[in-house]
Amino acid sequence: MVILGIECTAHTLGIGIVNSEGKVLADSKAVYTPKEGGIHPREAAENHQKAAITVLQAAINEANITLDQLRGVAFSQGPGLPPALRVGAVIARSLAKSLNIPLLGINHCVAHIEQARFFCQAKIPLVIYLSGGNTQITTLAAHRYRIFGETLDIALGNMLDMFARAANLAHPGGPKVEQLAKQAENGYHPLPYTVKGMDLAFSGLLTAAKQLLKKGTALEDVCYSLQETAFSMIAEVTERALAHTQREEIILTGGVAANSRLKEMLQIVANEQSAHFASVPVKYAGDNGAMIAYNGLLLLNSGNKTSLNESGIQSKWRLDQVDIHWES
Amino acid sequence: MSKLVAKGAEASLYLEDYYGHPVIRKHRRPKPYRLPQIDAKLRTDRTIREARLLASARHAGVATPIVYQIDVENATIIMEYIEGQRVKELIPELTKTKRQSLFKEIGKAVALLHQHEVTHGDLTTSNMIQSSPKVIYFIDFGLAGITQNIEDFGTDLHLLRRALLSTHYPHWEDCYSAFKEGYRTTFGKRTTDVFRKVDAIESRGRYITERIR
Repeated sequence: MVILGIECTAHTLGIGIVNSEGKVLADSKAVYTPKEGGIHPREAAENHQKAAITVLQAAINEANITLDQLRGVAFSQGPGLPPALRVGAVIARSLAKSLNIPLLGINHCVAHIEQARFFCQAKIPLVIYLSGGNTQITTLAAHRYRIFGETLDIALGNMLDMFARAANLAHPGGPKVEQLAKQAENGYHPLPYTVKGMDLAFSGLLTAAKQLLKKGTALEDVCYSLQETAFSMIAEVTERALAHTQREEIILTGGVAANSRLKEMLQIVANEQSAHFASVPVKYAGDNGAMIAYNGLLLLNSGNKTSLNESGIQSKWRLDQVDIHWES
Repeated sequence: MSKLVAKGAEASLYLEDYYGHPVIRKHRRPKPYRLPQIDAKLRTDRTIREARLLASARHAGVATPIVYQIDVENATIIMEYIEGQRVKELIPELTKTKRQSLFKEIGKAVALLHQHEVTHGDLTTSNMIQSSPKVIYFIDFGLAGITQNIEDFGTDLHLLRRALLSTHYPHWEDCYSAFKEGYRTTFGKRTTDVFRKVDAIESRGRYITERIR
């Protein structure tokens, strides 16, 4: 049995294929990069539309299958940018209808988490989900991902991207900030540290970091201070959530999971609390079609599918509103 | 005598004897994952903050442990030992009526804090101890603050709501509605502003659809 998954929530149009064991047979993508500034939803959607056939063909070739072998088509139903979501949904509906196979509407956040859980071979871990759109500390209890901590304003990845743009670094900013931080020479400049219970806020930190830049502080030093502050906040709430939930595993997922300094900090937290830490492979840290395909497999195996009537996009679909049928 | 009774995320708690009184020695451990500069500042700030605001809360009429001694350099506070049960463990054991009367009392206590311009900053059920049916002790004031800002009061309520939703999902609505009722009886006229602020804070978050209020 092979399942195809379409990720189309923001920058990335990803089409992935997995087999019945969850093994990734194909993971193809086209990434829209804005010429300047942040993502433009309509331009992103146009881009995805144009790239769709090429990406689909590449995925089919990579998996070395024919379309009639597919047993389900999964797509990112939300949350995300409506124009992008619609493109993915249209591709999925057309494929499902023409091949007469089940359509599987998937929550993007759940897909990131389930893929990480699969690769990390974790049972019921505390999940740290950090990306451009999301910053959540969550764990599974009674069929739902319960959110213990979350950003009160902007996501961690979004903050790093916005800082990078202010510093004239090309998109995506996270990896460049990480690289520059390693070259810092003069050490740490104090920045605002905002933790409220297990919730976090990053906008004050962003403003202060931009001000440091304006004052002429070396970019490398600002990157270093920014990372150290933001990641310490994440590590602190992780430790608090771990103590609170008594989980024994921590997994990290989302685009920011590619950052090695962050992983280093979370590893220390895990050691302190005698927990096991694992991170999603860097290759799958960002948005990808394989995660949607894998979640589609879980949904189908638990006896569920999405009817055409229910297949409308859900641009504000929250993680904690999804029933996790495949787990107790 | 010194017995480690709890190792939380931030601090270790030891039960000790202090001139014949049982006390808790709370030590904020250094955190090896963060830079020493960040670590030292957070531990010092929070130790001072906690000692001060435990006293402020007491002045406001909310039960908190008495602070006996503070050692800023070692980020340590020696305070009264409170016997009782954490609200976190209590919730599942109570009947609906008892749960609601408990949360009404909690609502009154939080409103008292806010009336006296104190915010707790980490209102979870782990930080409340019931010592007798009507007396609920509040602990862990490391993230507390002095404020007149409705936004900060709203944040306190948001954090409690989140804690109930995530940890006590089968009972959260009972608890939260009773809490709101108790809060309103004590906080009075401006209560509506605070509740409206909670909605505003939550709507600022990512991906909010029709969340249950």
